[in-house]
Amino acid sequence: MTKESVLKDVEEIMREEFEDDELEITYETTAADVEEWDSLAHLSLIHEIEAKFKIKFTMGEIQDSKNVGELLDALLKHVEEKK
Amino acid sequence: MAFTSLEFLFVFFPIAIVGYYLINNKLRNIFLLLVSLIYYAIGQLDMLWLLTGSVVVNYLMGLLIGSFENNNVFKKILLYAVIIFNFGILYYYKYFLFSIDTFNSVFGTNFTYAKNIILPLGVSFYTFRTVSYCLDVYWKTVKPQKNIIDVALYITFFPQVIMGPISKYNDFKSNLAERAFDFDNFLLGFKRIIIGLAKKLIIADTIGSVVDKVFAMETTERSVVLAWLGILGYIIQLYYDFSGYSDIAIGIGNLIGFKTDENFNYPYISKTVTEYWSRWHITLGTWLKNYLYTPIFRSCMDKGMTKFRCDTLALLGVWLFAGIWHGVGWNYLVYGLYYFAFIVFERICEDIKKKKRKKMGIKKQPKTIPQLIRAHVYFFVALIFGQLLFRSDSMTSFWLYFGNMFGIGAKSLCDKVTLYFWKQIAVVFIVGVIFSFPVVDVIRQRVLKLNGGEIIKGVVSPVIYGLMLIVAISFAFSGSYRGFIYFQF
Repeated sequence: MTKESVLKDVEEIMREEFEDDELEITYETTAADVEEWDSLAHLSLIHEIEAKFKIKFTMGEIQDSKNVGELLDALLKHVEEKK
Repeated sequence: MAFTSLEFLFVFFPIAIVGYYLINNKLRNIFLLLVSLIYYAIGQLDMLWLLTGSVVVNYLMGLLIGSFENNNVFKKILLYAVIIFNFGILYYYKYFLFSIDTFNSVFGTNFTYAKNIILPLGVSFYTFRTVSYCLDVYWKTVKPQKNIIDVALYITFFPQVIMGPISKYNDFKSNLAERAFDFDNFLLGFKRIIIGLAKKLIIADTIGSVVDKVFAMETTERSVVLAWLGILGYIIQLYYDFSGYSDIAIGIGNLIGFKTDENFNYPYISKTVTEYWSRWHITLGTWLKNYLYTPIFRSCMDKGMTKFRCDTLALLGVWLFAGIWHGVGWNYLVYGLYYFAFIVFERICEDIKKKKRKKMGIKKQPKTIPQLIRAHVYFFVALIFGQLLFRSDSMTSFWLYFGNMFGIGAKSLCDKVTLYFWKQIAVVFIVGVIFSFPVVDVIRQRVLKLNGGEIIKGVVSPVIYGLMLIVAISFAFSGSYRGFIYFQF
């Protein structure tokens, strides 16, 4: 599992969550770049990612991840820990 | 000692700033802690023990909590203990007497409490800091701090201890390392302080003098127009009062190299109640989101509830808490539930619109001008009655005032007293309305686009700030000072 492949998976989840089939994300994408990405959508997104990858983010990761890249780093760290 | 009092402006503040820059770099945090404790002691010496006691307890509990591994039962018990300790203090000083009165009126008992309880200064605000620090340590967002000076300064920092802004320890911590002097930041600090003083002393206090009289009048003495003037005036007053305080707090921070979170972002330009609460008292909203909304939402989702139900329950928790936190009395609880109802209503409407768009395969379109006008009117009407709940002493006085606004029990439609009051505040009221919109930003951008815009700004800006300062200080000397509204919370 690479960061690149995880990015695609998360993009898919985001498209579903934000109801935008054309949404494209990068590591630098932030909540400010996506109109629908408010605090409710953020938590819902976190929940969907956790369900798909069967991991649990910490509160710090949920609150302080500054962009998609940081969230993916945390995600990969948890996936790695599970192995 | 309020920021706009003469003793603060001409004695405490200059001594603190000059002293800060004269002292060795390494001793500056200790100096700031001492200054903060002195500031608190001047305001309420007999409650200094509680503030310092809270610092020691939370510091030690932080260390203890941090010494345990994940999911340790003892760690959880310690967290609950320290949260109960912090909110227990708040409950005792703020709500205990009210609880006894409520119990007596419900059960017909006659319990009394001999002790006169005085609310410790800033307890509502520094409790947020202590709780947030311990939760962050528990969640491992923050490492338990070994240096008690850092924790103590975070909790007692004099520009923020009484009325916020409520910063997280992690954000505050970045200021605790050595701070280099930055002239631009220093100048920015002075400008923010002048803006804050002008907001509070010129606008909020002038309007407040009339608002207080209008709300203190007998119902039968108030005209319909006066009732509307009173509540609209209060809406302007509250914004300039609280945002003025925040400007001064942020400005003082800038002078000594501290970055402080913004607390306001033109709340009255909102189109929805949800948007308003993301622009008003922002640091409180962030605290509630991080420490209340998120844990409730996640625990509901883990139990398999629907997203809508989790959101609604989390919002209910947040607004019950926010309502009760804002003050003692049933009207504050209703105030919280009132905004909760609007936000849930807006969430439902947005969901319906989203589903409709999805069904029709269309994207979200920008609002048309009539839609924008409708949205602003809807928001402002919601705000008026929400703030009336906030300003009223009780639900009874709310309904009496509400009735007056629609002619029920009012003296007349308009009378001489109304015109007299209007003349007293008309200019300031209009200025207050204009500058509650981002007009300054628009003017600044336009000027900078002109040929020689930088030069114009360089000449005009100091003149405006100088004038604002002179007028504000003359208001301070005129002795018409009124306390900050949020001091009482």
